[in-house]
Amino acid sequence: MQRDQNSDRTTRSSLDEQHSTDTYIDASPTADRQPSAESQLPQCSAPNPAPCPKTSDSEPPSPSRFKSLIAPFKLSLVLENKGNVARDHLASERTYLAYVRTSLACSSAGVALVQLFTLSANTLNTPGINLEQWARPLGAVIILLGLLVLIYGVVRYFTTQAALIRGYYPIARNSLTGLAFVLGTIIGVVFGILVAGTKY
Amino acid sequence: METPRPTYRGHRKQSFCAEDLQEMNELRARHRTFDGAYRRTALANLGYALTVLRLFDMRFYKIGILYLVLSAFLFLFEYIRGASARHAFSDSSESDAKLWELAQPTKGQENAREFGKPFVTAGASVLIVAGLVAATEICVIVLIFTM
Repeated sequence: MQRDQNSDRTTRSSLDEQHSTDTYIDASPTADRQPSAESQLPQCSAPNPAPCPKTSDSEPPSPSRFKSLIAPFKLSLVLENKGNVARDHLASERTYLAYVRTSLACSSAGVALVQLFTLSANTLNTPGINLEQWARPLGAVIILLGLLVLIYGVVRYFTTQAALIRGYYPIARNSLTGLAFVLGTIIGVVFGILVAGTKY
Repeated sequence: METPRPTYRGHRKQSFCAEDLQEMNELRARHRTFDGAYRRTALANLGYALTVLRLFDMRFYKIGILYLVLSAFLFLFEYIRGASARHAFSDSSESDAKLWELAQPTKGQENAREFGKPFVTAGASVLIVAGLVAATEICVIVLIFTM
């Protein structure tokens, strides 16, 4: 981010002008990308010298400029579909849906746990531990974990969406370790309760 | 009032043919997302709703119906988001003019080949889907404790 800003500074004023006067398409060097059948053709041959404002300044330099640019579409950005753009964002959407599935799997596991613990409480008649009293809190904890995964997925999606148009990708490291650790802990707790509930 | 059907390079939808491998890749990415990921999520919910309704005891039927409703919404979203993919390579209509006006460039992709219309990212539907799933999960927690 930091080093990009320096190169962008020279072209900022010209970009401001473009957006204020609403002549974005006309002023751009690729004005021939007007909606037409010909716009499907490769545009690699378009000349791209450094002083060209549109191609050298791909993102607004400051957060406030960024906000004003996407003000009407704060959530859904409208992007020129060049190169990998659409494919990257679609991949990010799939990743988000994978988070949604993880979250739903957590919540369904929570529900299933309540059902199975009550079932086994009825059939096992365990002496030491009352499975039924553990069922609901444990199930609720797992569903809450699912909720957290969902929130994290949303945060990840929007972080990625904002990062991709700036040309980089935020890698998830610690969060995945944390999630694995929490899930492992829950599995351990459930296992412990089940083992403690068996007759010996 | 009937809106005119979108044409694809001046022809009907049925005669559309991908120009080359890159364009095919674009279409594949959309299929993976809308026919793959969205549908898989919805189907997983449908399956789980059936499991809850048929296998679990009577107290859980409200939870099963909740999952069923969520599944229906996800199928709806697959359709709505998929519509943008179906029109990605159609010829621009007048309503698309605003889209071209708003389109922002992406750093590092300025000189790459341009495919079809500007791409609208999933932000809004991501948030709505998240809201639906979160509402479902909160309802499930409430139902578990009031069961």
